[in-house]
Amino acid sequence: MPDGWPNQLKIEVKTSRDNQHKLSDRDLAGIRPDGYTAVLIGGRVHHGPRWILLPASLLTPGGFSESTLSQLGEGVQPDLCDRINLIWSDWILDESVWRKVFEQHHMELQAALDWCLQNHSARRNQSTGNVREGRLADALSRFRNDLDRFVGSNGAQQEGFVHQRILGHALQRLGYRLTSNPIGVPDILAVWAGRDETATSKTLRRQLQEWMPESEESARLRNVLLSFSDDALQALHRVLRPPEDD
Amino acid sequence: MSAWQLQKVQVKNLLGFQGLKEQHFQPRIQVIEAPNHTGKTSLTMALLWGLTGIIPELPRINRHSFRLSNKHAGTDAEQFCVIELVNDSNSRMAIKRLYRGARADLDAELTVELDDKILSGQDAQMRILEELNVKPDSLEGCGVVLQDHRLGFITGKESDISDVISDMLGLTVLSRFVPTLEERLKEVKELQKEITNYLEAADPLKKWEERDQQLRDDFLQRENEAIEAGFAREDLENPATTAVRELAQIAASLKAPPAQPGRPIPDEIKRLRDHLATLRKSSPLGVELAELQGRKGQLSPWVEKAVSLRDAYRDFNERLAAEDGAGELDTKRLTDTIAEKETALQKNQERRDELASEKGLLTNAYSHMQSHQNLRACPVCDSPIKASDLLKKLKNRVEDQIASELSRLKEQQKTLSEEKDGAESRLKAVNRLKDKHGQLFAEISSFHTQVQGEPFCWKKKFEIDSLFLDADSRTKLVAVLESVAEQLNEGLRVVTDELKQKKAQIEQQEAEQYQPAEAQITCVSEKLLPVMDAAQKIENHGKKRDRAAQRKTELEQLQEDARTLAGQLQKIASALAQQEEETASAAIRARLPDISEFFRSVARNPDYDGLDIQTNISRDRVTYKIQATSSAIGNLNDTVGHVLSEGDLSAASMALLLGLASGESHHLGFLVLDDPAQGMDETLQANLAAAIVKFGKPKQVVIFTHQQSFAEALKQAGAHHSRIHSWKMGKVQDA
Repeated sequence: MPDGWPNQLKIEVKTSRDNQHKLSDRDLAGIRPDGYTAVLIGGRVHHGPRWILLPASLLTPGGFSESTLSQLGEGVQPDLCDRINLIWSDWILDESVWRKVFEQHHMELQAALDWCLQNHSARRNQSTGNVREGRLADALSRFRNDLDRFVGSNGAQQEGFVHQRILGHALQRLGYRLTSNPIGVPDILAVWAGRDETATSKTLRRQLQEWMPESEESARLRNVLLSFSDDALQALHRVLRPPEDD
Repeated sequence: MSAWQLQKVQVKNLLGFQGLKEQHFQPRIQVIEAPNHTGKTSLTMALLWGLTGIIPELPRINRHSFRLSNKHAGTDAEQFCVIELVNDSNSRMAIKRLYRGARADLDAELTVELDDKILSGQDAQMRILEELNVKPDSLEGCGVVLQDHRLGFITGKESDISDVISDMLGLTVLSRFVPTLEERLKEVKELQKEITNYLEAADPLKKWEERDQQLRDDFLQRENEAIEAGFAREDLENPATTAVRELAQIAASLKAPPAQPGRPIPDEIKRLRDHLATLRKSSPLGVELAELQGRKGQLSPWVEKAVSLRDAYRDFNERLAAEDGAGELDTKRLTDTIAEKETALQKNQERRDELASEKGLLTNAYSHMQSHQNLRACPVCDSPIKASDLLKKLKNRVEDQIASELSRLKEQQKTLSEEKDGAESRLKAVNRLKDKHGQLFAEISSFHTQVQGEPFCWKKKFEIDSLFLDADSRTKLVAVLESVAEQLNEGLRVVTDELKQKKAQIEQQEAEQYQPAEAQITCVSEKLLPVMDAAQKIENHGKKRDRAAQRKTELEQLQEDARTLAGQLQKIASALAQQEEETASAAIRARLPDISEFFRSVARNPDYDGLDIQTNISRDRVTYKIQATSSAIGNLNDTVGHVLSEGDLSAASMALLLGLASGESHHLGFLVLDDPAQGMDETLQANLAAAIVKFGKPKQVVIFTHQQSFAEALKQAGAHHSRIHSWKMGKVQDA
């Protein structure tokens, strides 16, 4: 597990479309004393859209502006947040993936979303920085429009659930195992389970397939790597991955 | 602070006084009896102006047109007022104020001598107010009460009453700050409003977002243009990587060396364009095309030249052939002929000269012989002679032989001259032909030199002179030139055909190899680079986001500070007003018994036997309401102006003035009253006189009155009495 990542995560998820977030006693009771509230910051001026994690110990019940919350979230689990945001934003940016959810008119939203998350991986989007944030804001806006059309009403409420699922999915990708939570508080209960090596090799293979080499030499390297077995790819990943992944 | 008392006033050429008027004042109570038209109002107004520099607002005065100047003194006369005062510490203060018309110039008009100090201008004015302990805008507070003001301040607007009462109570220090605080409060609220307006109009974060949106719109437009140009949306997620990859592919297709890692993309584009240009120039087809173009460029003028020379020489040859038939072309022969003719002509001339000489000699001999026909022998040799024979022979010789010979020679000379002229004319014509031929031959020789080494160049050498004379040679040269022109034409045609083929090959190469590469480079340059530029702008703009947030936070903090300051100012103003109100209430409560007693003793009103002053706070200002009260009835508390007669109001105003001015907090040492008993009957006058003497706590009360009975009553009560007697031509004469 990367340094500083919590072994267990209790997360209450908060999303909003008006940049105001309300925290109730019940919300906080479910994550105290060492849990987090994951808040989806939407405002571009606060580097949104992005997720921040707020320790329950810093929070009191009440209504809060994004400005306040984003200041509170400064420096809280920065690495974990970056990883979550990368996976989450890739998913939001890959419209070809999430449109599949809204094409499943015969399914309930939850089922369609779970099906999509299990069967379709989002492509790694190469955009970075403020350009990526802008793209993400536009993509999130389109996602919300499609979501509203799909659910007919309560789009904003449903969105919280959708993001909760994607957040859970991101945590799984990062090596956490989600525990089912029948009472609904907190929204996510996750325990560190280590890397899913099979997933790693699949991810590597997909990334190699999506890689567009800039030179013939790189193209040859990609073809050689693609010819490797999953075990070989996993071994290669273990050798090459950054130290903090260990 | 010690209280100042009036000692003397000098008025020169002001108001009713022409020349210098001097009035001395006494301590304690002094009545100056002055019938109407003796200048008591002029004196009190001069005093007021001298102390404050202000012409009072009176209903009867238009302050725009009103002048203090005395009409009889003239405009150039010196006009001033000097007020001398003395205080308890025996310090002396002399205030001198020059009148310079409506346009005040305080520096020029005001001086104050205070002990050893001399002040002028604004400093002097401030010092006067400080010493007298009155507010700058207070008239009554200066202790000079005009007749017009007397009732006004008691029945006038609340603000006027407030000023008078607070002045008389000596509350100036506290109340002076309220307007200042209100101004600051107003400014702070304006600042708050400005910040709010600014935040609404130019919220830094909103502006950042607007600009960010503009940049994103621009980015999307460029991105769409790139997609229309064939780039995949994914390619544009990282346009720099895509550009590097595209340029690497182009470099590979052009067999250019790979780009240096990290090389800026515009530089790489330029490098590839240069490489492409080099390829175009150095490709075999290009080289061949250039050679063919060069060959064509060489042959084309040669063809023209060869055809031109061929035609020109052929025409000249035909002309020369015609000339050959018409006469001699050989210039040497023609020159020889001319020389022969000249020699013959010379011989002809010599013979004719000889014959002419002989003819002369013989003619003389003949004449001589005719004179000596009898001569028989020669006188020299003595040989026998026959004169007649000799004469005959001589005549025959002269007239027959010599004449015949001369005739023949003359005919011969004519013929020879004609022949010579003909030969010379021919020679000139032939020389012209030779010159023309020479030019043509020079051109042909030059051309021959140019084409030397070319396969069509002729080997045979032609001599110019033989060519000129030899028709066969000329015909051969014409044939050579025709052959050369023909060969050149053919060569040019072949080169032109080859050129066409090369061009077609090059176009094919361009279409298949170079143009696609160039189009790719252009595509990167014109479609990807703009996307990169737009993305860079978004990134650069993103860096300004935190600064915008910081600015907004600062503005909001400033707004909060302004809000806090406004609240604090408001609290201070309220506290000051509260403090003043409490002080005023206390001072009034302390003085109210005397005030009421004064009023009661003067007015002796059957219903209202007392006065009350209600203090209140309105908009952080202390306001006063003066009421007449009744001790008998109890509930008769009415505003004085509503229920009292003019005489009673005068009594009330005097009660207030003297009552308040005698308080502990009042520092003014003098009170000047102009006709205070106006509207009072003799009983009230007597009551007032007695009351003034009884209650006149200010150390000095100066009363001007035109009422003899009132003056007498004051005099009887113990006041110092003096009189202003008469007025003549603007000059008042004292008693």
